[in-house]
Amino acid sequence: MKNIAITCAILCALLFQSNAFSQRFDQLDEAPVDIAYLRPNQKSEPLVKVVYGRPSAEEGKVFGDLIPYGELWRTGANEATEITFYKDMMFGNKLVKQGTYVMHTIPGKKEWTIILNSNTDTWGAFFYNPEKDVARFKIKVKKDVTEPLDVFSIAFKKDFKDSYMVLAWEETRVDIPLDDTSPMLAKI
Amino acid sequence: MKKTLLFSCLITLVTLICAETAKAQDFKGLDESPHDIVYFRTNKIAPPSIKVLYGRPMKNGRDLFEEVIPYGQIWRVGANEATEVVFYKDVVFGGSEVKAGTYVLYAIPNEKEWTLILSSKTDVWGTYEYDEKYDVARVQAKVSRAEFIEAFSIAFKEKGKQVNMVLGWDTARITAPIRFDI
Repeated sequence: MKNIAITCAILCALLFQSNAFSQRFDQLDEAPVDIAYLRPNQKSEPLVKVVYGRPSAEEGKVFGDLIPYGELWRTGANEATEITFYKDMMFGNKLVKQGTYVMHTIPGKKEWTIILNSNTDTWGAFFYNPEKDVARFKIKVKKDVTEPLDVFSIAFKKDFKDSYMVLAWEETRVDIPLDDTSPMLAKI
Repeated sequence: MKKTLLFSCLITLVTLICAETAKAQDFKGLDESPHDIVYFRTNKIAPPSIKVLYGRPMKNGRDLFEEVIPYGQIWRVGANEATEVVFYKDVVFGGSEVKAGTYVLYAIPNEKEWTLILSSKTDVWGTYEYDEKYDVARVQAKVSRAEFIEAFSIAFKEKGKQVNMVLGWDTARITAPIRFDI
């Protein structure tokens, strides 16, 4: 009996000790974080930065299934996707001030709602508060059957003089127009 | 007639080339050394006090301090994009006062002590753009030993009124104390 008590005490002491002296290191995420920058050229300062989690598609389709239509999505995985504009910009034809925002989306079959919100450093879309919205607009969905992607991806593309931020997973493509030279910007 | 044909050929060609460029955004695969985010919050629902965004390379059986991060040479403290630290309020980082803001964290590994450097030149890749003139703090951090870990890791550990930022890889642990009481 006494032995058991002593063993317990030692065990408790050991537990306490390992608690007191070690910090918890996280495992690698299954849906790791990635960073995408938009720079006018390789050496210039960035215009836009996106930090987002990259889930991989299970077998089957993603949108309308794994990610349901009509529901708020963190646009990635784990921590909510964050987008930094290094100067005032037109984003989806909405004026957005320089700063960092969370980007949520509501995927739909034909169009997506894109939401920029100022409540940053949040997990998932659980802390979403519409009062903190700074922009909300809709974008028509496109399909690209030539390059289906297993991993959710965000990239920037230039189409003549127009720039887009592209959200892409499987065949789904959502092209959000970006413009840092619009005359609209001079009016503020 | 011949001219018209040539012209339409040219138009077709230009259209094809443009279509090709228009499609050509570059979707990257997953990084071999993926990025991760670690926050320090005083409690679970508090706004963050510190955030670190860093790449996590694997040891992969290599001799770290011979092959990967040799002693005496500057390191990005991670992989790919240089590691970024956000302080949401003014702090004392390893004895050096640092204003709230975003910084790049570099390190110079050594056997017993590492030099940790905070630089104000952010959004950079690796250590290629490191320039001393942007140094905001340069502090010494002690090395200790603990259990083996395969992936480079950064974590926070609260200790009384201060929090330790701990870098861990292989059996090395590098501890930098951070205080908020300024």
